[in-house]
Amino acid sequence: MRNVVVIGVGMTNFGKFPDLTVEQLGREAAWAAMKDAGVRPQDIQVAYLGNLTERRETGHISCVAQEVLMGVGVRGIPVTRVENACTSGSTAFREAWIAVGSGLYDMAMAVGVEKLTGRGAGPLTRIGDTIDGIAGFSPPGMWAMRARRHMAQYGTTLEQMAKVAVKNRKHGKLNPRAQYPKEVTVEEVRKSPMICDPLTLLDSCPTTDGGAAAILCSEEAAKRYTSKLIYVGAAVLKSGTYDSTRNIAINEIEKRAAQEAYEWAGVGPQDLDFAEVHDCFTIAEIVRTENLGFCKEGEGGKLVEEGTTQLGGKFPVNPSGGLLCKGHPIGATGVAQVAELVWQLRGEAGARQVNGAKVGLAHCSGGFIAQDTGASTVIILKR
Amino acid sequence: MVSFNPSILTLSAPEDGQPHLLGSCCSSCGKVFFPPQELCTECLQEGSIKEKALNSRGKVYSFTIVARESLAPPGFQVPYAYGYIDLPEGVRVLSKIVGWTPETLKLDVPGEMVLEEIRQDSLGQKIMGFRFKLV
Repeated sequence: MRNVVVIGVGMTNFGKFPDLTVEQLGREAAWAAMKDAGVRPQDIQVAYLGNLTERRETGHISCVAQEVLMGVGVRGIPVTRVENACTSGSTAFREAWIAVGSGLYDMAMAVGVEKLTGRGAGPLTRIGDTIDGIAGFSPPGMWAMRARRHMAQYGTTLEQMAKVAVKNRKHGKLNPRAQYPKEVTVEEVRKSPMICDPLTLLDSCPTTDGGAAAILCSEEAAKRYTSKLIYVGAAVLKSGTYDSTRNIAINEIEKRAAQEAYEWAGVGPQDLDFAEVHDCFTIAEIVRTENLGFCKEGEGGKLVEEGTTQLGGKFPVNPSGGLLCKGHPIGATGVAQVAELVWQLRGEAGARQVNGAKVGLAHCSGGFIAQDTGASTVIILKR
Repeated sequence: MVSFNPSILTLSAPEDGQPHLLGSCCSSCGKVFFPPQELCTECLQEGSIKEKALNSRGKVYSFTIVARESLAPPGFQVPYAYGYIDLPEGVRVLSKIVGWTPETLKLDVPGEMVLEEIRQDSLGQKIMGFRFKLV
């Protein structure tokens, strides 16, 4: 694999935009990334678009990727839609990295976009005559079950979980694109409406629309566009092992993905300056800081309690505000994490800046299969 | 009445005539799977998979109580509970939990699988599913 550089990123505001179409959101992000990179549509040689929910009922029975991209002048080239649940966007980014790193293409674009409001799409509850459907399963329930085991096995508390929301809301207040740039207290988190016991509304990421995009090219081509070279150190993807009686408080898939990413990038967790971690629920950030090696197993609650992971602390996690505050337009999230990494590494993160950031990690996971995770990605960028 | 999925839930098992969840057992390596599989992914032996009626009794590995109405599928009323149930064969089953109270529903509590009507089809036939009932 030759060196690949991210030369442009773009992102829409994240929020509820029932009147915006998925094309509008995707195009806004793609165009912003192209302008940021200084590239024309015809410079892009291959593109990947991450999206979960577009389907017949939403008006896109097929080829939503092509429909989005034609609106920014990207036509004729190989275009593929990518789906890996919440990590669809990161997977699209990884495909773009492979396309350029392999030498097959010199410039690629990864776009992520999701529209969850305005069409009565509803939550991602399972329905129908399946085991999940007759149990009334939905993703918050899986995390609630994980939380209970984590609390029983390691003594993690609801207050520690709430502190993740408090921290990420504080960060997100500094993010002009965040959905809820407003702080919350531990008490407000605990008193907010119950979703799936013990997870409350403020323990959970919101319903969000949005798009994000990134332009990647070879190191050699990159020098024509920018002197701020942000390298892709690693973009790893794994799927689960689906062991029937696993410990659900640990996501071993994330440990595996992280381990390989560290090896590829030639860094360890101690070399990272910050990380964006998939905090779909407060407990998720706690579990993932353990799996990614930022602290020992079972100590994720202590980590957030100590203040280590807040902006200004030793190791900021989710300086963007994370999914909890910024929002979670599913397909866009992974690419938005990459955008945050790029802005941080370029020194362009404004009030959210992690001083002297040189190496950042973006983690994203998705999918619920056999009490395990369907897909997990770890991306490391460095300058 | 009919099972929601006869390959997963049988309404009559040979030995005791009771409804049972159906898993798969590999006659070569002994591994038990739920839901059923056509191939033993443990030892990859072809043709070794046999149907296995699973134990009705197990315990709650973890659970949640759904409080948010928008998360409830058609036919469900909040609050309702579901969880992962550990069965003695070494499989874990996702199941709606019934017969619980906020005081009795805890990690590791025992229970048994029971039949419950999920809905009726257009001909008025009862479609049956399984639930884990605390004992």
